[in-house]
Amino acid sequence: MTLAQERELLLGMKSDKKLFGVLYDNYFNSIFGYLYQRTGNYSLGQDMAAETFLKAYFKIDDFVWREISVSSWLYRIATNEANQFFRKRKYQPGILEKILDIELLQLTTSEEDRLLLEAEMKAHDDFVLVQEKLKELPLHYQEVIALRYFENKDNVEIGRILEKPEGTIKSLLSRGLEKLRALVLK
Amino acid sequence: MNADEFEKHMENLQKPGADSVKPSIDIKLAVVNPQRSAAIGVWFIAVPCYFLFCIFMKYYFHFNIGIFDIIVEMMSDLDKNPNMWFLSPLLIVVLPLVGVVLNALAITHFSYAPVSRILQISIKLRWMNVLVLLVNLSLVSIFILYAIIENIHHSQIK
Repeated sequence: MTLAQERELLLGMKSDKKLFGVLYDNYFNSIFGYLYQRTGNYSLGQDMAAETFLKAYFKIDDFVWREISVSSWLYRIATNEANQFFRKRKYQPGILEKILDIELLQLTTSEEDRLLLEAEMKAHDDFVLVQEKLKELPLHYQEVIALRYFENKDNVEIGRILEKPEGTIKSLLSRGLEKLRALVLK
Repeated sequence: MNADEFEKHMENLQKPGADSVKPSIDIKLAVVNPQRSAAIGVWFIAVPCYFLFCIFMKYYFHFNIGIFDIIVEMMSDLDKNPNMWFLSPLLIVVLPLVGVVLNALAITHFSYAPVSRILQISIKLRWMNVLVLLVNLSLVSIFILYAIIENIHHSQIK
């Protein structure tokens, strides 16, 4: 999706909120993949991804277009969701829980997808090791390393997502990588 | 592994791809409203609970208060009335049984994956529903067990 298309879509959303579905279809996989790789837990990844899109849906009117892809904004919400979990070691999806309670809805997940993704995760030993050790680092290192090496984002984009200057991202990456290396080699 | 090698290792890290699979999040409506089911379940057990309470107070603790006799006599009258015979089993067995089913449906969800042929049954632990379900189930069990024992007892006497 190009920036021009995204801009048009956001303008269209002012009058027709159903167009949010296009954003969901375009970015759900990336956001879920990011959250799944950060947490290593399928159900948690799904809950966080669902909460990310629900928050985005309710706040889409406040989104200010600054020639930056809406995906950065979605990654920022997703990063906050992941951080909330790592801070408390417990995840409470606010909007999702409210909907589940009030509207009496239940999220269902595909058992086949879960088994497939979990098998794939198990087959990547190196990744699982890095993921586990990454969780031991402070959050500000976790988020930059996950965005850089799991999501292949460049420093400029990571800066946009985390709303930090590029220089800060560079130094966080360098220090974080060193700490991660020490943990992995231990 | 030095710092540069580790950075290269991270750059080339093989990651499990989530792109190949599109996780489906469906939002489905619960079959039965859980709060309403719990409320209905409580109403359904009101009469049988009171009846059982009266029986216990009257026959086991020998509290002979008029208020206990009213319900015991009412149930016995219903049994004897040829036009109303169905009311007492309805009140003490059928309604609590409906309470069990309603509350079970309110907390149970089914999903079936046709390819892997997995039937997933999940139970959401809503304690109010679980409690009402268990009380309803206990009442039904007590009355059915009582009916069975009474029948055996009567057939032995005959």
